[in-house]
Amino acid sequence: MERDVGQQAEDWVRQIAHQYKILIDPPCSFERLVRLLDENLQVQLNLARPFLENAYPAAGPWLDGAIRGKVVSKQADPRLLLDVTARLLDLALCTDLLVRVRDNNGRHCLMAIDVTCNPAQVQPKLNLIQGKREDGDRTRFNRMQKLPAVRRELGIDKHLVLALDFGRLPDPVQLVEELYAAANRPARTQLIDLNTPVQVEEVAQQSDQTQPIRPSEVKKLSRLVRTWLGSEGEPTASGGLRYTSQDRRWEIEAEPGLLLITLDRMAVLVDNGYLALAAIPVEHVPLFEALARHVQSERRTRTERDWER
Amino acid sequence: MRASSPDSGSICRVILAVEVREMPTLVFRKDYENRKAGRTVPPDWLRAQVDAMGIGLQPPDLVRVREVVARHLPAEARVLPKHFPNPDASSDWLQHLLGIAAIVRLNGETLAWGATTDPEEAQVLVEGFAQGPYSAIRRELGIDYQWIWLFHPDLLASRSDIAQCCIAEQSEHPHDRHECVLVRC
Repeated sequence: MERDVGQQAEDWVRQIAHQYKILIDPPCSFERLVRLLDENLQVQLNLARPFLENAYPAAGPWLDGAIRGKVVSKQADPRLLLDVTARLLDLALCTDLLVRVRDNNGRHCLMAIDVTCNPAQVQPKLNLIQGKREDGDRTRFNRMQKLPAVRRELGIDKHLVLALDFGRLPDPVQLVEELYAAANRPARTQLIDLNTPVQVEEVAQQSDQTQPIRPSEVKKLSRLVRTWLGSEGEPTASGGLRYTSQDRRWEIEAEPGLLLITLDRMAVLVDNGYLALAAIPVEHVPLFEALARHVQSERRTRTERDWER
Repeated sequence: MRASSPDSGSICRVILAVEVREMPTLVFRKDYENRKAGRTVPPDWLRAQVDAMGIGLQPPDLVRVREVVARHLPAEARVLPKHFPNPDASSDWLQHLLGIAAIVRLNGETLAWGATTDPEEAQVLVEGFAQGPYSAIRRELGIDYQWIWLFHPDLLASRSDIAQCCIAEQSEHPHDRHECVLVRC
C-alpha cells in the first residue's frame, strides 16, 4: 500500500533515533510487562491480544504463560520476544518507541514516544498518556487511569506525543534537539509539535495589520503554551512562563504586545507580556479578536496622548 | 435506536427508502470520483490496513446479502444495485448499501467497519445506519457493531493508531456503547 503515512512516520523517527544511538529496546522483560498490565490494565491487555496473536502466532501461549507466572523467555526466540514486548507496549501503553538520553545533569532519562501525523489526534493522545478522560466526558468510565502508574513502574521517566507533518519532515537534528530539550523539562508528559501550525500563522497574518509580530515568535510561543498546558507536573519559572494561581494567569517574559493565539480548542490572549488563558471555543475567536483590537487601539491612543504631553 | 423493528410501520420504511435512495450518489459520490481519478479511497485503504493486520473476516456471500437486504430494504435492493460498479460482488453490496468496507473479528465481537474522511458524511452515515432496517440486517448477517471510521483527509493513521482506537472503543463499558458509532482516528 503506497499510502501509509502514519506507519512511515513512525519508522522514520525510529530510524533517526537509531542513527543517533538513543533508541533502546523495551526496558523490561516480557513477563514483567504482562504481569503489570494484567494487574493494572487488564482490559487493555485482553483487547490487545488479538492484534498480537495476528502479528505473532506464538504470542498467545506466551501471554497465557506469563499471566500464570511462567517464565517464557527460556523457550522463546529472544529477538521475537523483544518484538512482541515492543508491540505490546505500543498497543497497551501508547509507546511507538523508547529512547534514552542524558539530561543536563548527566542523568539518564528514559522516554516513551508516541508518533502521530494527525493534528486532530494530538489532544486525545495526550489525554490518554496522562491517564485522563476525554475532555469533559464524565459519562464514560476512564479505564486508562492507571497508565501513568504502570509507566512509572516500568521505569519510563517521560512520555511524549510527537506530532509531525509527514509532507514536511523536520531536520533530524531539530528532532533530536527537541528530544533532549524534553528530557530537561520537568513535565512528565509533553507534546513535541513539529507541525507547522496553520491556524496560528493565519492569526499572525491578521494581527500583522495591527502590530507586526514575526510568525516564528508566534510559533515558538504557541508551542510553549501547548507544552505547558500539556504538562502534568507543577510548572516552574523556567522557560519564561510562570503560573500564578492567585489570579489564574500565566506570566510570560516575552516581548510586550498584544496577540491572540488560537490553538485547537482554545484561544490565548497575550497582553503586554501577560498570557491570559481562556478556554473559549474557536467560534468565539472573532469576538476575542475584536476585543484585542479594541484594547490595542485604546493603548495606542493612550500612547499618543503621552506623546502629546 | 429510532425506528424499532422493520415491520413496525411501512410509512417509516418508505421515508427511509426515499432518503437512502440518494446514498450511493450522494454519500459515496466522493469515493466514486476519487477512485475514478486513481486516488486512494478511505474504504479501500481501511480494507488494506485490515488485511495487513490480519483481523479481517470473509464477507458473507452475495446470495445471502441480497436475500437479507431485499427482505429489510426492498426498495433499495431493487433500485440501488444498478448504480454499483460491480453488482455481482457482495463487497459492493456491503459497501454501497450498508457502508461496510470490511468485517472484522475482535475479542469475540464481529464488527462492520466503514470509513470516510468527511466529518459531515460520517455523521450522516452514523445516523443513517443506526436505523432499524440496517440494524436488523446487521443482526441477520451476524454483525454486532458497526463502526464508521473518520480519518484525516490524508489518511494519516498508522496501524498502531487504528489498534489503539479499537482498544479504546472496545474498553468502553457495554452500557455506553451504541450499535453504530463514530470512531475518530
